[in-house]
Amino acid sequence: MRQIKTRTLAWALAVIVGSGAAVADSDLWLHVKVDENGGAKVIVNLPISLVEKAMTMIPADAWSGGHIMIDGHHEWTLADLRELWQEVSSTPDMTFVTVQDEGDDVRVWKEGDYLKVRVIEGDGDDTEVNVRIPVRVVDALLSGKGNELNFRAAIEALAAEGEGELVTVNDNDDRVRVWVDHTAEAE
Amino acid sequence: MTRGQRFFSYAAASIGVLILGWAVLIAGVYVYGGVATVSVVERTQGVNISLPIPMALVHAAVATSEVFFLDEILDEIEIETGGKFSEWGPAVLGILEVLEDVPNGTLFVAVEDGDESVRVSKTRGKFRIEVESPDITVKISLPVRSVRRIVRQIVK
Repeated sequence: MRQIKTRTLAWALAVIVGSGAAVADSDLWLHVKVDENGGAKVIVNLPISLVEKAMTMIPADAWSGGHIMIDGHHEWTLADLRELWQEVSSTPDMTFVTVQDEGDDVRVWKEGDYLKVRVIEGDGDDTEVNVRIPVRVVDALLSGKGNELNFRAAIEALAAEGEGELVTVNDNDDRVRVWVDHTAEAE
Repeated sequence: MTRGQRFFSYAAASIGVLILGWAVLIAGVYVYGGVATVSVVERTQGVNISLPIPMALVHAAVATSEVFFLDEILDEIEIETGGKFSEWGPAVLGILEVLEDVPNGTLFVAVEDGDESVRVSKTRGKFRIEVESPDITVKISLPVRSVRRIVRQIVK
């Protein structure tokens, strides 16, 4: 369960961060690679500009003026997240969370302009998850009003970030990597 | 030359010109717009369909949209999808413009899972989708430039 949650979080962050890279630089490419040991292999290479165009095709009921609505049934409301983030973003570089428990190691910290998450599950699975998110992107994402995420602002913020590694997941069975660069992958 | 021989010569010449004319026309159609192809091989039922669609003809059909009831077809699509072509048409056009600029040989998506695979790529100016499984093989090939021209015409 924990592994699933970790991976879901990684994917969600990857989609937000990856989609965001689209707007700024038409030469940028979003890459996703999933390699399941002895199972499925997935490769996605998309020009960011194409992602940007495709975003305009999101149905009106799912996309409202550049914001995505969040229903009110989550444990964390956006107001809670905004409040927490204000505290986090205004602090100097520091580690916010450290959990070490029976081989598992979770660390969330701020380093320069990035919020970083590192999860190591050593319970025979040796899973390692690394997430690197620009602070400005989270600022922009949470800049919406009320129960809204300002997705478009997050995209614009990320656009300025350019190339970079976004998410990596490595364990005994699977490898996931999400990154943005200027290289179009050939067949 | 007897009258019969003359008639035979004229007939042969006419048939020759006709064949040559068709060959030139078909070549022109292929060269101008390229050909979209849809190929489906369904193994359990033994279905094998290969459908080449000369894009120049599609372009001509769109240009004479009143004859081919294009507006009615678009209205029907809008009713079925719940979206308006006037809204998502420009986005489709934008996507096609990006695809046209993408270099040949680009692999967009590749999924391999056991004996099933999906590949989406651009090769020699064509956007290709290939789906392969033990039961069915589907291959779709679209000349990006021609499709963009057609969509642009529809969006206008």
